[in-house]
Amino acid sequence: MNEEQQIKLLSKVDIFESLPEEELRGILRDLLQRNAEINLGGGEVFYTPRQPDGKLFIPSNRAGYESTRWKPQESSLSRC
Amino acid sequence: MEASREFTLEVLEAGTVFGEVAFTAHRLRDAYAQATEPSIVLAMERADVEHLIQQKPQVGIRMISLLSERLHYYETRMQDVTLKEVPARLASLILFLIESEGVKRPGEIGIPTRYSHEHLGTMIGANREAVTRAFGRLQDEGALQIRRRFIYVEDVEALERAAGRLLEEE
Repeated sequence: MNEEQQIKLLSKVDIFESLPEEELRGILRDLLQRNAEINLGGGEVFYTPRQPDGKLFIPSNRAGYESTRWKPQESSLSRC
Repeated sequence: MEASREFTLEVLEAGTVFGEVAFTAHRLRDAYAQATEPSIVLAMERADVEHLIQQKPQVGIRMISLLSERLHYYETRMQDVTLKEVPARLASLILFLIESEGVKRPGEIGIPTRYSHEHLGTMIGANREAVTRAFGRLQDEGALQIRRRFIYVEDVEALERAAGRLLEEE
């Protein structure tokens, strides 16, 4: 994804909608300094609750938020 | 009720911010997010987000709004799954889908994503056969049509009735 595509993606994010483009570019520069871009194949997991620190994710394509737990007493993360 | 199985809590469209739940004290222990299609994900560290909110409080306000919208969405979905029959759950889900990705055309609203009955089943806690039967019922009621495996909503009010939403509002 080039910078223009990244800006386009960030500008679609509703929590950033009030920010002008210049500020979005600033956010992006910070993000890229921290290697924050993750390339994923279809089906790859990018968030589990076991990750120690919270992160905010912005996918460039469709993603699913899934739970493997149907009954409260059961727990498994079969696909992680 | 069946044993453990997968349940789709939400389909995240491109550019939908996700992970704000991790900023709260409560997390779903067995929930995870995965790319449905090949994707690039931008990830922001918690410290960066907090810094940004301090600098730009309007981002924090939008985040609160996002959290409350998500809470409402999850509450409605959970209520549907526990209290409604499969056709009503499916109707309710399709109402959410047309809100998030529906494309208006003359006389109908199309959903541009091709959802399999199995996938829709994971979103409403039903098996594929029950979803197929529910689609038959919603089509008989004139609420929607399936053409080439795409969903087209023809009568939003009929769909709202099927979902039980109009009764709830009266």
